[in-house]
Amino acid sequence: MAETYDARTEPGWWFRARHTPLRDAVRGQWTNSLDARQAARIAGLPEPLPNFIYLAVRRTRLWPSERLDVARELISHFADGLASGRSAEELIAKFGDVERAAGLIREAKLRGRPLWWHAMRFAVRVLFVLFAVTLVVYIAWGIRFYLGRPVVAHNYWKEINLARHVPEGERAWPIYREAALKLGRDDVDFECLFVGPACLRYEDELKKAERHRDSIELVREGAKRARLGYYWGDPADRAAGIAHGRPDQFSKQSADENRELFTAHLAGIDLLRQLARLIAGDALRAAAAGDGLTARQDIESLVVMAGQLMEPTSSLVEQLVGSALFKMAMQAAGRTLYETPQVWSDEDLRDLAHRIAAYRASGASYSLAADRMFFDDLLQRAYTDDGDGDGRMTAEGVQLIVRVAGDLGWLAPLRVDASSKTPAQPGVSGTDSVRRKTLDSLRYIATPGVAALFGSREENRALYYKMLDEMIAAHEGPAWLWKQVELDPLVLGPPHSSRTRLRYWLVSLLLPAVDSVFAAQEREQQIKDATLVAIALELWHRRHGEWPAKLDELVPDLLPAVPPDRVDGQPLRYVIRDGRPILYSIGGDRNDGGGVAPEDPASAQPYRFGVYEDASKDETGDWILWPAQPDRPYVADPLSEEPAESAP
Amino acid sequence: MRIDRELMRGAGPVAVLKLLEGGAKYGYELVEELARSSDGILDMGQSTLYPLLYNLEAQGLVKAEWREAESPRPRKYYALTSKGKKRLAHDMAQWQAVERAMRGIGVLRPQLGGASA
Repeated sequence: MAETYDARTEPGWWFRARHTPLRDAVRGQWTNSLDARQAARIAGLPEPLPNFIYLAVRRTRLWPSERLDVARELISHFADGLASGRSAEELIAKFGDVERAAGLIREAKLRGRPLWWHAMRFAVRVLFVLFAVTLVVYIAWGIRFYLGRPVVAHNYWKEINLARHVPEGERAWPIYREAALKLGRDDVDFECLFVGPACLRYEDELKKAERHRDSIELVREGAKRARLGYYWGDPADRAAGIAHGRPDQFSKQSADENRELFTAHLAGIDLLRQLARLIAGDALRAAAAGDGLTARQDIESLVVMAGQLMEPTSSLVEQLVGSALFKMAMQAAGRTLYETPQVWSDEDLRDLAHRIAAYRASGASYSLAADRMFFDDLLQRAYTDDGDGDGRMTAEGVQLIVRVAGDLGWLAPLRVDASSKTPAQPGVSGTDSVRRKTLDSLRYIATPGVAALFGSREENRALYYKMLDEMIAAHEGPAWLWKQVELDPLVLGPPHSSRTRLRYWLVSLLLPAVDSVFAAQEREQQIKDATLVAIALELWHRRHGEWPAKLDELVPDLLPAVPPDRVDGQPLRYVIRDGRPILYSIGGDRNDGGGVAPEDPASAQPYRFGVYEDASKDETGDWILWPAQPDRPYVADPLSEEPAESAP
Repeated sequence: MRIDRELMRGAGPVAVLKLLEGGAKYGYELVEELARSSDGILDMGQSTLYPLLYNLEAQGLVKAEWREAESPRPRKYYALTSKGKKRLAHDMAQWQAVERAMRGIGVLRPQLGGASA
């Protein structure tokens, strides 16, 4: 028997704690009275019996109290054997195999343990089995997950560009691009030029605008082209930027590279906004200087430019910018009509009216095809493709979503930094290296689990398309006929479970602010109507030397019909105050205040239409459409027309 | 003659229960009496006996009790419970049936007069 023990060794505190009955421990007495080794030692048996007893009971791996009980019984047994004249060696030999005995004793003693212990052991075993099964399933899932690869089968850049392809001779964009690049490095936004002399930088911008007459002429030239023809990721844009010494103006991304569509940088749209402010400002400058022809040409060019942005294949952002451009044109026209109408002849007014009326005369229709492609592009880069439109999330997809969500997303901890893929650098401590490797391992383990929370490719696509269709349907017809709907709770909040919301988190993350494009459309329609009525009022005033008592008097000679107030469908409101006409809408509060603007114009967004219950509900007062209010312009800030959360 | 382990597994418990029928006994006493009463045939080592006793105790067939007054050293006595008595009666009936069957097929020699054990 090679194994032995040293009875003289003083047991440590942990050993004593485990071998002291609770009642003694409560009294602060660490008696060690459950120690089978001690019991065997003090029993007075000759060696090697104490050692044999201790080793036998130790191998049972029972509780200390059970071991002690067995040890005492064996002590008693061997003492009786010795008393009967047997030697210690004989007794040990007759005892039998100690290993087998320890095993059998353990089994028997465990069988005799209390019910609660058996229940707990069963529970632990069940949990262990469950854990093991879960682990196996998770590992299988993880292997399947990491084997999955997305298949980028479509180049949506090219599909978008193909849908908006224009013969080169009809493309306006290259001319606008030239006009914008000719502005050089001034990098001026011409915001003050548009606002007027009250703006601090007005004089400075006026001088710059004078220096860029050639750009203004080019814009007018571009406005003669049939369509915009702005292609995403067009290498010609970057080449033009480089040729004009502005290599950073356009992104290096090319449509041929077929990178993620959401990385598209529509720099051309920014340039169009800059040009629009230049043109609108120039129109106001010309009107103030008595140059009606230039003012009219500028405004008409701006209207055409806005219309060029409104192609059926335009993205939501492009349409919003187009709408903003149109409203800038209407603001310039409205201000001229109010402040210096004499710069325009009757014929000028009629031509201008016809040009304005022609803008989106057939009405607006939105398919949001580009935005759907944007979502489909993300799906093809995130999911596998089973050939039937469905697929499962991939590791690349999780990383892609993390990038889209940004640092604010709850997925941020899963982001794989470029630094984590590089070998440890000199100077990086070992602790940092271990920490980084640990985090990488945890991320690697957690990613398949997180991916399992997302819905399938088809589920997400179906919901995204359904929500777009529902939002488009909710905005059918004029604003007063829009259906009141609640924000879809499926992806935006309760009562759906967090699990469901996570399943469609991709949709909620990427769903464009569709309502904003419809609200913008209604705003532009309302302002367009008001501007046409203002032109008719000016013509009436020239003929009669006074303002009409009612707008009905303008019909049919100057207007085909009195346009509706887009809030309630009733005829546009009209009042004469201080000898000047005012055109207005009853506004978000749906109460005719007699043409009195809100006391606090900054309290709500101007001219806000919406199908949601909260749209403009806090706004009081009327929306003054003409003359435009200095503190409530149609386009307070053209840049703000673009919703921040929108896709390109 | 040593009895096969499988046979001992069936005979051991009923033999111990039978020995305890006469009164409570401690481990060494049981070992000795088993060997003596069975002419050494049921002489099981302690490595078998004590687990057997603990199993019977776990099944509630015997109850154990430490007694200190009857000898210079404390001993653990095992006594039959009422459940143990019922089990003993049941097992004895079964063994007798087995014995009859064994005699019937000639494994055991028939007793004189044809009486069964």
